[in-house]
Amino acid sequence: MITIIADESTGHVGQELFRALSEKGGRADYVSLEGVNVKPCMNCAGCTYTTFGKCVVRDDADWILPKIIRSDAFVFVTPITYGGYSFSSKQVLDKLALIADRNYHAHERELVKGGFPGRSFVFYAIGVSDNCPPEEADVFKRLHRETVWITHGRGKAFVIASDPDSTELTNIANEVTGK
Amino acid sequence: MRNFLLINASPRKKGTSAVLLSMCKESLDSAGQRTEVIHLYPAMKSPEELRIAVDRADTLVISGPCYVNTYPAETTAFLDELSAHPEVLHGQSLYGMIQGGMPYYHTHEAGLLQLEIFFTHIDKDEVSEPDVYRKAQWKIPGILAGTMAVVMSRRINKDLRNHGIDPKQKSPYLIEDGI
Repeated sequence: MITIIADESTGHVGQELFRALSEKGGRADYVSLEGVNVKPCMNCAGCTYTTFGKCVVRDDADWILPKIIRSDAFVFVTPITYGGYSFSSKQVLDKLALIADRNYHAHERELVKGGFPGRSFVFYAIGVSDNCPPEEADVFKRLHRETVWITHGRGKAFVIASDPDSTELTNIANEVTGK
Repeated sequence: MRNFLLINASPRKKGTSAVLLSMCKESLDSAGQRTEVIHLYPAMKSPEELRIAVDRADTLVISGPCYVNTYPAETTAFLDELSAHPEVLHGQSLYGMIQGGMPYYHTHEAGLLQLEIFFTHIDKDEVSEPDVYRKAQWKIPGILAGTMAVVMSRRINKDLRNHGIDPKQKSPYLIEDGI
């Protein structure tokens, strides 16, 4: 199961990717961030000591995090915002730590964290931007790469226009489904 | 004498980000500079006042935690607010500090790169040398990473068990009737 989490201010890219994935016969789920309210992580440690593995605050993460944790891979579609994720996308990402592995591991002689307990994070980021300056595209890819590294996971970042041609979307769909 | 707006970009008023900011403030105060400290999370509830504070400042200093390899979502919301009101930006200097638990600067560095991208969207004049923080990294010998990971993970699990929490329990988000 591949979960797409899309900030729809990017236009139709998320929905088109969902279509491309479904056409390949993959199981895909689509989450639009339109009207979604995920509150900030207040670093209260409630997800450790009060309700282990679950946020103490009730918001839309209640139904989004269960989708992510059941996915084989999750894909964030976001407008590239100062070389990073949009506010609404980052609100969801900020809460991923609470479903992630809390233990440390060693990878290539560095301390890293894990993904989900027992299995990897497989995380793709699609940054949508028309005429993105190369330095900004590089920051976006760097940011994503750091997350894949620290979660000891896999995935790739893509930078595409808001009106990509179908071959680009097919390529991304192929990557995400591992073909 | 310059006006410094010191922005705590953490949800915590007395956490590490705030401590770093107060060290900054002490240093600036004893140099006879004017400093004002604001906490971003409550400040974002009154965006007009926040913008006035930014307008009053000659230098902005942002100090924040590292969530998923960059500043938390609220910092992006702040940058969005400034982008929407460029009239309050009149050549201020911008300094960024980002801190996190991982002992490697590369883990957190993308936060600073994002501030630089924000800068270039506004106006890029002069950028400080990253070597200042890169050289300050205390190098943990790679060969110790494995041992550290095991020791730290054991401590985490022991702490959880002491609080009556089973570290291996299934995520509440995987339990259908849990929420």
